[in-house]
Amino acid sequence: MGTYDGEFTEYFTARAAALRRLGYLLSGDWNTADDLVQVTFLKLLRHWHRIRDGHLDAYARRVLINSYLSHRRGGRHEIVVEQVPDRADPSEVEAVGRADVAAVLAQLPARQRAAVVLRYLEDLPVAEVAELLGMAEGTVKSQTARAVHALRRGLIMDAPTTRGKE
Amino acid sequence: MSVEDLTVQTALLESVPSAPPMKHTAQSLLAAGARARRRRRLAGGGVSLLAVAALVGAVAVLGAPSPLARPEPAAKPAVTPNGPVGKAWPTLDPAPYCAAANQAGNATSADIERRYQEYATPYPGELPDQIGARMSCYLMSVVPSYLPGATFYMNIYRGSSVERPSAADPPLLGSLDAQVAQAPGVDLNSPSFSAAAIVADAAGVGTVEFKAYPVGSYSAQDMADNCRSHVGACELRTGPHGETVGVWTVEDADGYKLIDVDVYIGHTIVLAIAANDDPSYWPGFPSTPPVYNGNFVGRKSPPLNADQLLAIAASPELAIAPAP
Repeated sequence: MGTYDGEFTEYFTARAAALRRLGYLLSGDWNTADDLVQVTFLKLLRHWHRIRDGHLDAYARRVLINSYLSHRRGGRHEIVVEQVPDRADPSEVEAVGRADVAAVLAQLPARQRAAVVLRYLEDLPVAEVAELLGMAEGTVKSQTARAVHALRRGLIMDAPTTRGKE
Repeated sequence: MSVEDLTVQTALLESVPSAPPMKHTAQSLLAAGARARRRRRLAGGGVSLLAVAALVGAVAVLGAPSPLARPEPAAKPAVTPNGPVGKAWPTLDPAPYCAAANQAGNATSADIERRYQEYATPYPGELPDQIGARMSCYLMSVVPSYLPGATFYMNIYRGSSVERPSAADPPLLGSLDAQVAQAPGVDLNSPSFSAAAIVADAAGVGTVEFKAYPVGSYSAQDMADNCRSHVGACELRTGPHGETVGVWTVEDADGYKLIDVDVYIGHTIVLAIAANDDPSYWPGFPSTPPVYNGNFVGRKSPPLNADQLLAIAASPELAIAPAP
């Protein structure tokens, strides 16, 4: 890497807004999103010279997600669902207003919300989401399917058939 | 993405309201990182017992400090909330470490590989106990000669971000730093060794730290690039034997000052750091890790100046020969 400060500034300029948006969608709060961005970029600074080219985005996303989950951790019971189809019936696709999406996201458990945001906003494959969140791939599929179904309906889901601690 | 997935993605994006101005800028984060980084800087000879003994003997016989020692003007000792904790060491005894360092090492290449497998190459050619003993022997012999009348304390919050040495350890004990937890895409650290101390004398309380790690190769241009690229004033120098040297100085409006001298010698980067902070000011000291809050200056200037740090660092006793 070349000039340390210049490269860092360049990366911040390019990616801070997107990471901040990710932080907002996870937390629902701009102050928390800013805190997540700060933690992320300070950790990036710390390991800058050791992060291989091409891995910056993945590393930044991992740090932000882990910081968010650490912030939310507190023995909460995460809802684990039974196997459901990966994709909802296309006939159920409906336009959903901004307030509905925000309201539905806010009601989701932290890891389920993170799974949805990573799958659909960041467009990450199931395997990568599973690895980032420490879940089985099947759990990622089921949690995102139920959450997306809720988004499409603008409703929060009914209680699933199985409950357990994540 | 399918059409349905794009609808969800669009909905997520459209759900984000207009954002207020961000609290942080690249510059504010760089400044915050520089302060946090000063303690985590990482940054490549066998010891001659005769040479070290001669140095120790010379100091004892002549009864005089090193010609480079410049005692601080007499001043009221700094009053700190907690004071350095742990055992006070008005004198240090390097003899046991020098004896251990001069025992022939018999580590095989398999031993080396096994011991350092969590670290990036190049690996040292000796096991940690051997290098630690050599480092301890040298520093415990030399550093006090620059600080006449000082009392030393173990700094349990020395530069390594992970290792928490025992408060019963003597100051300036050299040991292997723990590997930092890694994530995919982040390269491993090569093994580094460090030794540190809290220093208390008539001028107040400050800290010293010495760190060394092996490198495959390092040029004057590398040092120059490193000098230009980091926050803080940096000066390029040449060492007493032609070594490549970088000297960083970090100061702030609270009176805090840190001097970091980096020397490339014998396939090793050696960092010699002195600061005028009193670790006992850190909130929660000593039970919680330090958080810099800019308000714990323990003396007017660091216990050692740049010339003294360079004289200590530019020594083959701190060189870590890489494994063949």
